[in-house]
Amino acid sequence: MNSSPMSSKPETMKPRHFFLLGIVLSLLAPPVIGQSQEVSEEAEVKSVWDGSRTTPVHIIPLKDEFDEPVIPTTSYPLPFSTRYSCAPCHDYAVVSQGFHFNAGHSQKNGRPGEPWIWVEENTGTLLPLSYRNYPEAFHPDKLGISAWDFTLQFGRHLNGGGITEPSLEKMTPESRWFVSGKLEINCMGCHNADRIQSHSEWAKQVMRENFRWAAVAAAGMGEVTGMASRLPPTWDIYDGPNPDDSEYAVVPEVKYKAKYFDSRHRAFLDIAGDPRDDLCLACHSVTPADTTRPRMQSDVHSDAGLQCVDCHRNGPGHRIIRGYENEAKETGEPYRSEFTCRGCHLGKKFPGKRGWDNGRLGAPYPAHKGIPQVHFEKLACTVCHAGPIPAGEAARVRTSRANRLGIYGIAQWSTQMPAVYEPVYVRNHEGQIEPRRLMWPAYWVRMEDSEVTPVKPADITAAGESILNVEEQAAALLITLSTGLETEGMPGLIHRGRMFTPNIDNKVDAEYVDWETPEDTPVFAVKHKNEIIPLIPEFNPFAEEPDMEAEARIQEVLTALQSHETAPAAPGIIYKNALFRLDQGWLDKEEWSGPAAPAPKLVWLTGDLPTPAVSDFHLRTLHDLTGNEQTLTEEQVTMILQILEETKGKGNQNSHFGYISGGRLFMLGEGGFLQNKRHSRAEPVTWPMAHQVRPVRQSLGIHGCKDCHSAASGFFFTEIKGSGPLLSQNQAKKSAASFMDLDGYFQRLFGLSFTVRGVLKIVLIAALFMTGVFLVWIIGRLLKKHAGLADKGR
Amino acid sequence: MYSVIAIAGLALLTAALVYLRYAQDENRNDITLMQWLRKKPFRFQISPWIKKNYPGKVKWIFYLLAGSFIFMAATGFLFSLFGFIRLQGIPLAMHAAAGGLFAAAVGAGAFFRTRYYNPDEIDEKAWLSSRKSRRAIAYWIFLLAAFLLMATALIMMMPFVHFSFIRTAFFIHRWSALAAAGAALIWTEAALLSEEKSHA
Repeated sequence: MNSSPMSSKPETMKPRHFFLLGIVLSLLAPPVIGQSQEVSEEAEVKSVWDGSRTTPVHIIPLKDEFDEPVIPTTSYPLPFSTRYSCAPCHDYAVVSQGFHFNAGHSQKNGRPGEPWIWVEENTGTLLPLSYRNYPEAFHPDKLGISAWDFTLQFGRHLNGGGITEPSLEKMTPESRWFVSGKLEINCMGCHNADRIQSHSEWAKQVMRENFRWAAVAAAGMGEVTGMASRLPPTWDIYDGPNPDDSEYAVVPEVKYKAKYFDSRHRAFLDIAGDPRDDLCLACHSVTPADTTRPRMQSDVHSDAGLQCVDCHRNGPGHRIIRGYENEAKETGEPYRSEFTCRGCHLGKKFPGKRGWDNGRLGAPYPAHKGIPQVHFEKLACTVCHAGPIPAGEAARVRTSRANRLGIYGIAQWSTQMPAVYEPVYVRNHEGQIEPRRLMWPAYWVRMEDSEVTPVKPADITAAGESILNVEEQAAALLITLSTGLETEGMPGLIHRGRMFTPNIDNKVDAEYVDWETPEDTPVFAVKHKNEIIPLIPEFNPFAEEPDMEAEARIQEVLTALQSHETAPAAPGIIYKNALFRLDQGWLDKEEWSGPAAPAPKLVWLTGDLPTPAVSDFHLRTLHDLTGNEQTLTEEQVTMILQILEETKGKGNQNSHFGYISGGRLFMLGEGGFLQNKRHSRAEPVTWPMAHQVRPVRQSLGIHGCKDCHSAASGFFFTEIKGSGPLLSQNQAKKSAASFMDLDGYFQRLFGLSFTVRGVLKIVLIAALFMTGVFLVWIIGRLLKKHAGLADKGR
Repeated sequence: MYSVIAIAGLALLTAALVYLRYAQDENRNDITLMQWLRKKPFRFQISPWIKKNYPGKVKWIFYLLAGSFIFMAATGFLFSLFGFIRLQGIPLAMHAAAGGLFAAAVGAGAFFRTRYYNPDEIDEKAWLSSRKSRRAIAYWIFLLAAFLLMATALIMMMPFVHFSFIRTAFFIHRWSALAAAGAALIWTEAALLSEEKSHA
């Protein structure tokens, strides 16, 4: 029996066109939100809050996306919708104005934040994207990245609403919103006090395109099975489960957990008014790349017992306080400045205030002993107090959103790339220096005149997949051998002392082995229990007595290679002066007139000349890239650029292609050689950072002026080297001072002056003593004179 | 506020000193102040004064003192009165370096010259009209201001001083600088500016 909602809920059954109307109405809702006027947070608070400091117990009837009650005991209940379940008390349209949801439609973007970084390892893409008007990031719309693409790519760390809940006109033809549903605002993602709330589950459901089921699965209120990504694009939620396929294209379904519901099907939602730090950190973690969990330092505010939301507050409008200095000015809401560093710590008076709101949260007043005032005008508080202490080089960190952290499971979700560094001190548009995080963008570009447009990774893959997927090709070949051979152990490829074996990610790992390959020829071997055995043993192909064991193995290998998915032709093996091939399943041996192969050489019999199964290009690339975090060689870039230039079409003769990585733009020069140059779009992308705040004893300047003002200061003279997916010596280098628009030579000279500051102090003390003596003398004289003591003495 | 007081104060002081000279000139023969000024009724007598008061190599103390003070006044007032930015960077480094020279020169100058500014010589009944009194008063004000300038500069460099005290020190530093500049003006008028002989 088909247990669709239509059949399972006869009491609420309605004509199909009503449901379609519901769909259309729900799709039309977001633009209305987008156009609504942004209202003051304080005004909202007054209108909603009754003054109680408690959080209400949420035992509420759940509603599905059609505003129908969720009956968990039915056979195919729909997932709950936050838009309708929370609506009686919380205005979804108002919540949608929150900073976590409004990137797609708000003009008030404030200080630039971390962009979303499109990471595509094979094409070497690290493309910064943002729907906000951040100058260093590309707007997805301009690159043809649809809301669907964006949600699939970044939904793992988006909390629903806004872009992930597009209106009809934003739904591109290739999208599958009608299958997946939309990602509504995931209220429970932040406000669930139950520790069952799982960000990993959210990410997993998003990757399965189970958008409308993601919130209920992540909240742990129900188990979600099935994958919308495997369903045909014509599937609709009211088609219900498919009884004919319970293996592959299984329709997503939620089985609610009974313990959350009472007899009237009302659900208990364990809501925390103030989200706990764990849930913030699911998307906002930043961790040093080289540290271990026990060695991690936490923010001094967290250590003191503060929660993220103690400073980053919001009202029902969810327009969260970001806490940067100019936020109050930019938003026109003075109360926001009460939650900046200065607001809590310095006791500054704010417009219309008498200063009584300062010193919040028990913030101590800073002594700032011996620090000249200019520092407080030119530097953000975070320069001295947040992030790692500047040393010889910037610290590499990983962030939740850039490196996909916090998604747990057997599969490895996190990525090494992009390489994010901190701190880099940058002068902002107000002339103040602030610490930032930095990443070097990397992407393929089309250049027309001075305009640079990123090329989508899919287009690059289409242009040269075989050039880019070298590791995958090698892994696939080795996996083909492993599945086709009746031998224990994993086949590998040995070349120049390294053995390449396939790994779980369908790429290869490399290890150094004590194995001499004859005349630089790659040798296929099998590794079993630390023993390496040649795949095909040494033998004499034209011996009078055929080596049956060796020939059987050759036949086995050739049979396996025949089944190789991407085999361009029939397989063959050249060994010494013999060519082995299969002829209708039988091993055929013939004399090979070409150069003799000192070791068995796997080939594809294409045309007159056999093509090696692993070419020299493959071997070079494997050696260069395996074990490195870089995913491209200059040779690969050259080859891809050649293809792009050849296939750009007659209409685009004025356009050229290039690749940006490590702070340089790589292009084909004369003779087809790779050249590189500086380009504004190759410059690093930076965004301000505020955490983590260090204890006072770890502040910059705590040991004196020389913490920064010295000839070897990490603050001024750290060298920031370009990094990226391209393995190249050609990388940009920038000094820390250049980010601050400061002259490095002067800072070195100025730093040196601090070595003679002690002398200056001695001179001042001596001069003070000398002048002090005379001043005391004159004061004495004057006092005596006016008190008549001089006359008395006389 | 500081800028207004500083500019107005120094201008008024200059005007007052000029008027004082004019009023004290017995040979002005009922001419107006402007007519009197057009006659260039005084001239600088730096070299003879230095030869007399700072003989031999000791003269370098005066040059050092005057040079460093003028430089510091120029950099300090330029930024605080007319600059849109605070004194910083290269000018600040040079201001601080000049401060060291100034401190050394003030110390040495005090050692050599204080005895010539005996407070007993101040004519309490006519301290304004007497050039000698004005010179002595200016000297002591300058010495006090220099003391405060050096003390506040030193305080601002000390790592154990609370930031609020640094702000106070900076406040005192600025007003001491103004006082020193005023005293230097008075002293220059009284010590280095003599009546034009021809006019007399």
